[in-house]
Amino acid sequence: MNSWNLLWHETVAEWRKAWRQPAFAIPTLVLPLAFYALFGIVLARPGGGNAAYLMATYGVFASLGPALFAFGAGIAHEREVGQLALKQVAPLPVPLYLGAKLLTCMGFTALVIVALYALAAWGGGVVLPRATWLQLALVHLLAAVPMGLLGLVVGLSFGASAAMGVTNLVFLGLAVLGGLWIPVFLFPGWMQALSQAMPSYHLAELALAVSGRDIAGSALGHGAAALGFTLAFAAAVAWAWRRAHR
Amino acid sequence: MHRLTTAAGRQRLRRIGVVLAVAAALAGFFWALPEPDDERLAPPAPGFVVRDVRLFDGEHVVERATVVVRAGRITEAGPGVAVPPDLQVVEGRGRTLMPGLIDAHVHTWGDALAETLNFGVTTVLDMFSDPGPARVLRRSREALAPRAHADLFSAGWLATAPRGHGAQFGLPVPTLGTPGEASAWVDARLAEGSDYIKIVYEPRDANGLGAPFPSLDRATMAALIAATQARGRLAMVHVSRLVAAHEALEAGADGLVHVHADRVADAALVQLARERGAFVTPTLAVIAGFDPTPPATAGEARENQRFAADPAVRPYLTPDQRRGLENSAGTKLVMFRLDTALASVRALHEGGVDILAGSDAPNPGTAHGASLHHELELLVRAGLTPIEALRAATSVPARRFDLADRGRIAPGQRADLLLVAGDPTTDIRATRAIERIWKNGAGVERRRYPEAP
Repeated sequence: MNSWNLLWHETVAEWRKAWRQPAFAIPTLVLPLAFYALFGIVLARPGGGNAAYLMATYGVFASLGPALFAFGAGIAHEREVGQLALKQVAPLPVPLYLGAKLLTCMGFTALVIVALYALAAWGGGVVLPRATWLQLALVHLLAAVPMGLLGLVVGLSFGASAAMGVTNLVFLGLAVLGGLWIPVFLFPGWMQALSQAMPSYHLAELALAVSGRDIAGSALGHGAAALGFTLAFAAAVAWAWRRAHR
Repeated sequence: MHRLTTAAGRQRLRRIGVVLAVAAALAGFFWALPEPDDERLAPPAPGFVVRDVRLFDGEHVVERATVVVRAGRITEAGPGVAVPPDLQVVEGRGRTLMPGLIDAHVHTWGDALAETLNFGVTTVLDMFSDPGPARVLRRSREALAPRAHADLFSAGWLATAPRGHGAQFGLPVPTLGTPGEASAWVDARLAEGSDYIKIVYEPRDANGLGAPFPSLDRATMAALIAATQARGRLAMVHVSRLVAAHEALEAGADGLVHVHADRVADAALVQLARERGAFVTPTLAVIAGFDPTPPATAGEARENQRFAADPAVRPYLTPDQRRGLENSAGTKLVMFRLDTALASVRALHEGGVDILAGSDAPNPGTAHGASLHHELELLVRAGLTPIEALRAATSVPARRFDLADRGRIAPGQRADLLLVAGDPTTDIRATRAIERIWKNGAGVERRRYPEAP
């Protein structure tokens, strides 16, 4: 089998594994949608523009659940039950093992953002040019990469129970300080300063810029920051992998 | 071909099939997502007839008229129009049908546009706010699909000096400082989607007295007006003092978006405004909110608090709007006097200057939608007849801002309509007795907000 074949099979296996735990998969998918429906549609009134604004930020939020809980906390569990050791003696290169996890994470994110767009378009009255819809989808899908890498760092660095606690903290920090639930400009200054250190903030600003909003700072700057976070997390994954090696 | 019949080949085919099916489903999904001006926007409401109604058509009053609305537009209006058998009939006897009102000075964010429509104000002219939401709404503004909010026209960011008025809210307002920057600044706003340009001009007087923040200088203000008008758009100026008002008009401003409030308008100002064809949007409602003068008799409510207590208004205010309307005690700007402003409006109106109704909501003492009704009452107090005041909130802003299908009731006009009990053409406060609101020919359900006992 060549590498692509391996990647395909590993990804399909990961995907099936996730779906065979519906009690896990379904809340992961439904949480961002339910939050969006509540704050973007039910509690927002027409003409306020909240539906469109929150769609941009909740698209980033959509990647947090799969990335952190599925594949971050999940990998810590796999390590503890010895599945990781099994994988290592199997003839599967490490990048493919992690790559399959990342692809599955992006697949989950894609499912959520498709449902999110449907909810926003036909429930929240969001209207965008077709090119904008596609660009926004690209930003949201790529947001899963740094988030997935961050999830792996957590999963490789902590034991199963500790990883769950850390993941919760990281999840809330990224969602709140990243401005995914509440716009950052409503925060006091010190919280706004903290936001700058959140990859989710830069991804959300990028999504807002793509969807045609004026943002503080340039889209290019936020894109560069997001790329920087991605590279840093990739390096951290490599380092954590070596440490977690046993 | 032989290879494809092997197990591995079949597997590969199946895999390609899965990928193609997912790709096709995604492509179909993105194709179906709504685009601006998309036919998939909800279709206009079928229509209705208002029979036997007193009609204020934006200019004049017509008694016992019938108005026919189909697919979001008015198709017939006037006395002697036959009632088509296929449409629902609304009885108009004892009531007055008016164009949906236009508020010529607001600042919108959050739920503003829904709150606005709740008071029969169907179009607003925003004079400074984040251009992002306006750009989104602009895409479907001309469509006739039913909607639950007022339509928005906007200046976007305002032109002000660094740390000047408008830059204090923490919004990323692009400021400027020299006449040389004016053309590029205006181009940037128009590229962002601004419908017109608003300029803040608050210079210090010869004694160095004036606003406690920096202002654009006179040359930059004039350069902005020239650049805006060269691009075929309107340039409005915010002033609060007589001298600044004079200078803005001399520079060719299309309109002043407040009446100045330091001194009564003199004959020279009135003459200049008339000669230049400029309009004035006095925003008396917000000046009343800022006026520090205590009520004449102890225990009497202040002007804006009296308005907020009106039983025709109060149940329809959100809790935030109620607070906004009553809020003024803490914001005493010594300069603002309602009496002075009323006298200036009287002079300008008698001098033949176009007056536009604008509330400056949601500033202290005002609330979106509601305060336009307050403004109408204050315009009548300033000497406009009720009909002239109604024109100031309908046909006059439509004409000045080139809103082709708004502000009048005539065949072809957008069916933004307001049905009120009684006769606002004789008693202006009747505009608050709202019975029905239609936006794009579709009925709007009014929201009530019960107060905690």
